[in-house]
Amino acid sequence: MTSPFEKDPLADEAVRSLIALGREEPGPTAEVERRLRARLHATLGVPLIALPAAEQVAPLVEGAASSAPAAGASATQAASAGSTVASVGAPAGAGVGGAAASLGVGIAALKPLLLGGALGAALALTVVKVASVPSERPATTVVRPERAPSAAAPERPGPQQKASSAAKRPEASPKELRPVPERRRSARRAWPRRSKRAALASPPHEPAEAAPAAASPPAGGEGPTRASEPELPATLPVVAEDALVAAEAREPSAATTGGTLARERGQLDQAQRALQAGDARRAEALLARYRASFGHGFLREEADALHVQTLVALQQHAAASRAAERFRRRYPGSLLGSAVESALRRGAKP
Amino acid sequence: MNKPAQSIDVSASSPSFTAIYRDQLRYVWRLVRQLGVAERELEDVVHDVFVTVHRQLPQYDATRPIRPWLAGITFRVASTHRRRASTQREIAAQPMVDELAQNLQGAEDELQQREARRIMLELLERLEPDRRAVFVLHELGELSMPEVAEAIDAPLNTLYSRLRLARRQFAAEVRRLQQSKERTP
Repeated sequence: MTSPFEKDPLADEAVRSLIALGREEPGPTAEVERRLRARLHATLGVPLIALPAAEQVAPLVEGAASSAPAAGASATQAASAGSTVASVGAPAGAGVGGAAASLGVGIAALKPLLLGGALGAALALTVVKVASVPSERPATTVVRPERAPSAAAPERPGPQQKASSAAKRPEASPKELRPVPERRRSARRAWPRRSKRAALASPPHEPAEAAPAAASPPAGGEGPTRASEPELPATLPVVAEDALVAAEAREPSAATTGGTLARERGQLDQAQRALQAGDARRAEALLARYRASFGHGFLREEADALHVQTLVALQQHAAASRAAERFRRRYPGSLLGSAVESALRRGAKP
Repeated sequence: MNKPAQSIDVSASSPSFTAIYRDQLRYVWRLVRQLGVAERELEDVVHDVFVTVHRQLPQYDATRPIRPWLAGITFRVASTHRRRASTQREIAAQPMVDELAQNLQGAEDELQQREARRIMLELLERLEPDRRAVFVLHELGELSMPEVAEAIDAPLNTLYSRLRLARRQFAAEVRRLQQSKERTP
């Protein structure tokens, strides 16, 4: 005979409590987050802001921003319920970000599973702490660069700006760049691709060349606006496939080795935005410029995928199919494969 | 005149990388941990996830929710990492959940909280990897099953089957642990 437990494994309260606990896993500590931010900045050249202190210590609770008052209320209720019988069941836990609350379980259910009363009380206390940390972060907010000299600092600095500020940016401090423990170094060796990226993104003596306008987003925005971008001819020829193949066959250009990932990203972002705006011809021209600038750039895979999408948008289906075929051949198992196939399918629809 | 370009459904503006990092760091951190990456390597793997996010961002369709896309990247990076022999060795070296539960007796509050989470991870560790991925993304990552299918690029029916088996196995492990506790005076 099948028990109700077997019919619905999640009916067991202890199971549901464990799942609720799993949904409240904390994020990295403030120290780890700071280190991670510095590493990402060094690798990608993207300045990242620090998370507010409250967010660093608070476990991730989905929807907490929208239910902060309720969370506070539920925390009070849970606290008043006493340490041994505190529960985040449906009434008291309604504001706990939908984690325990959505399951309608009591953390006390873990008591017999783990340690008995002491742990039950501790877990209930955890939930009270979670619920009492209101998240003031709205769903979408304006990003302010950390320690920006002015509010108008661009999110992605151009090469010149990066070169001139490399010595003084906080992530370059000796403390931040202290020797990596052997354990982590061994992990890094197993990721040659990232090491290559890190080396490419932060060359030791990057020349302070003039930042091309294309790679210099305007101040304070998500990226460059059309007004700030270099003028392109009103009518742009779509890049001939022969030229594309020839460009692919070329050796990496000097621009590739001297460029940064952020600059590549800047150019691809422009192409992506042009495509989003329905200006596929401009997108294609920008992609051609990317290929001319970076040749075998680090984001070539992304550029090639975008090329397929652009050809589809230009209704050049035969060329898109050929480009997609090249993409499949060159990047078997690519994460972007599904995006390419999806674009082709869209193009095939009448 | 230029022929009007065919519209591509990427009309919404993409979120910035910084915004994704700020809003989703803890979600990614949580998934990476629950997908079985060892504690000491969490930072490296989360770093790699965000590097991949940075690379893939031009391809992100901003009209769609961010988390399935992010979970897909996280799943792939974590899976690649887990396949490495060093990771496998560490997992094998982790204490069994029963021993861990017994060692918890008398621990202080903070340690108890941490160890309770470890027990959760130990239980997850007992799931077969494919089932674990579905269980983590759906039950803990709170993605819908179609979103899980999108994230890990697998047929929906297969995933439902894996989820069913994962739930059953997870519940059985919990029950076994309960029984083990009951036998221990």
